[in-house]
Amino acid sequence: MDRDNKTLSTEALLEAALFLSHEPLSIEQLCLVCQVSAAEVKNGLGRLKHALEQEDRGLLLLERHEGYQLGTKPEAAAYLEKLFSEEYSEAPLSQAALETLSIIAFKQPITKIEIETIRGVKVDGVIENLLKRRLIKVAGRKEGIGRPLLYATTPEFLRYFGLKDLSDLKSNDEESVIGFSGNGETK
Amino acid sequence: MAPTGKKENGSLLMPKAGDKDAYFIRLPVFEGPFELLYYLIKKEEINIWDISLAQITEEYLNYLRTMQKLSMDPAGNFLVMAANLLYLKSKMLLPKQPPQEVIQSEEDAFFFGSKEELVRHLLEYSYFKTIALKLKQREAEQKKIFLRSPDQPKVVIVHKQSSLYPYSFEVLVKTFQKLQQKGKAKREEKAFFTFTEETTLLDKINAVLKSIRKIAAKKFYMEKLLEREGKREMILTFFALLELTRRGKIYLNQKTLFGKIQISVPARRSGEHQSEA
Repeated sequence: MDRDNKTLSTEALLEAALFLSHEPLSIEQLCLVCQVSAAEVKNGLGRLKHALEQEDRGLLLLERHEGYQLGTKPEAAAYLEKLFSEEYSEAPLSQAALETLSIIAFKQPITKIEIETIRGVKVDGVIENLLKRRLIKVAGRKEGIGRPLLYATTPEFLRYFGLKDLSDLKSNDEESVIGFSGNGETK
Repeated sequence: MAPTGKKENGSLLMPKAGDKDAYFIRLPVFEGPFELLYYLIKKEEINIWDISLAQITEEYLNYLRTMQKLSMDPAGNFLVMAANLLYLKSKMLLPKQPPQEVIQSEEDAFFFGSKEELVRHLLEYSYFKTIALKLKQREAEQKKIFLRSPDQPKVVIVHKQSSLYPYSFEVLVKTFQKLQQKGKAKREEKAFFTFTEETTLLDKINAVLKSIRKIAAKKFYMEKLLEREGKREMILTFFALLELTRRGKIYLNQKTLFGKIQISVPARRSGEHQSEA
């Protein structure tokens, strides 16, 4: 599409495209819309993000694993719920599920026994539940006796927690933690 | 037994406010021994490396005793940990022995041969505790951010849809009529035989035979024959084919289940012999 009437700024076009999309848009897709370079799109996204941070705006720019997306501000939730009730509202994850997920996220691929060693409790039920919710997946088998299943997190995991990637999760006081190994980077 | 007394805030037993009777006791429920240990250490607000094994063991056992008092059965792994703590404690009380007795039983993952090992493990555990907390916060946060629902139909760009506007109703009617005529012409040219309502099975047989003979060289499919025919015609054609097959005038061949049915004409000589037999 030609941009003959170049009256709109890049961030305005970005806002329009993101408004229209039901899914996160990648930098490449946004380049296509705005007909500018990736660097300019990134700059535009930065300006849009900043503009949306103002108090008189109801949306916010989300940086997702798959790209960028507009969402409503958390502060608006209580008001929006009056009209837009969530049709499916999954129960929040249990403490056990969250702990197990944290371990898998950082130590993947990891076996059930290894998780149980860290947590000191059985995790069969938790693993079952996490698999069902597609937050983790079986990622092959470990070499060795019994060839136990290995578990890893899924893209759905990142989506569910609104993470761009696993490094978003890393604790700031990581250096104080001994016994933590591996950077937990996935793929 | 209840660790009241010297440390008020450190008590595991939390009597309900204003209630002298200990009937209402809230005992924090821990999922595993590490969670309990983690809780006990965190409560002390001290560096995990500085924990006093004696104190922590004492508190740990107190918790187990309280559980029993409330007729809750501590799970086996709690008891394993208790034994482990007592082992470590007793080891510290004994004069240092030459470090020959490292009983590292591989199969027991919950056994710690030294305090350092235990602390190391607790540190790792506590790290994941903080990550879990982070995840919990993010989860709550995400639940408050609403997105456009992904299962909605694709966005219709109104501008593109309006391209029908320049065409009036008349244009549409004319286009429709043109299409209809085109279809009619096609139907006429495509149909292999046309009939009046009075077509008999014999007429049909002859017509079918004629059209098959005409294109005998090519592969000929039954579907082709039935194409663009009315219901009556279709039935007649079908009967005609059955009759011709019975008489050995044509062969019907279907290679696969529900596949196309190929019609072929047997070689003249043999075909006639067969039909006479």
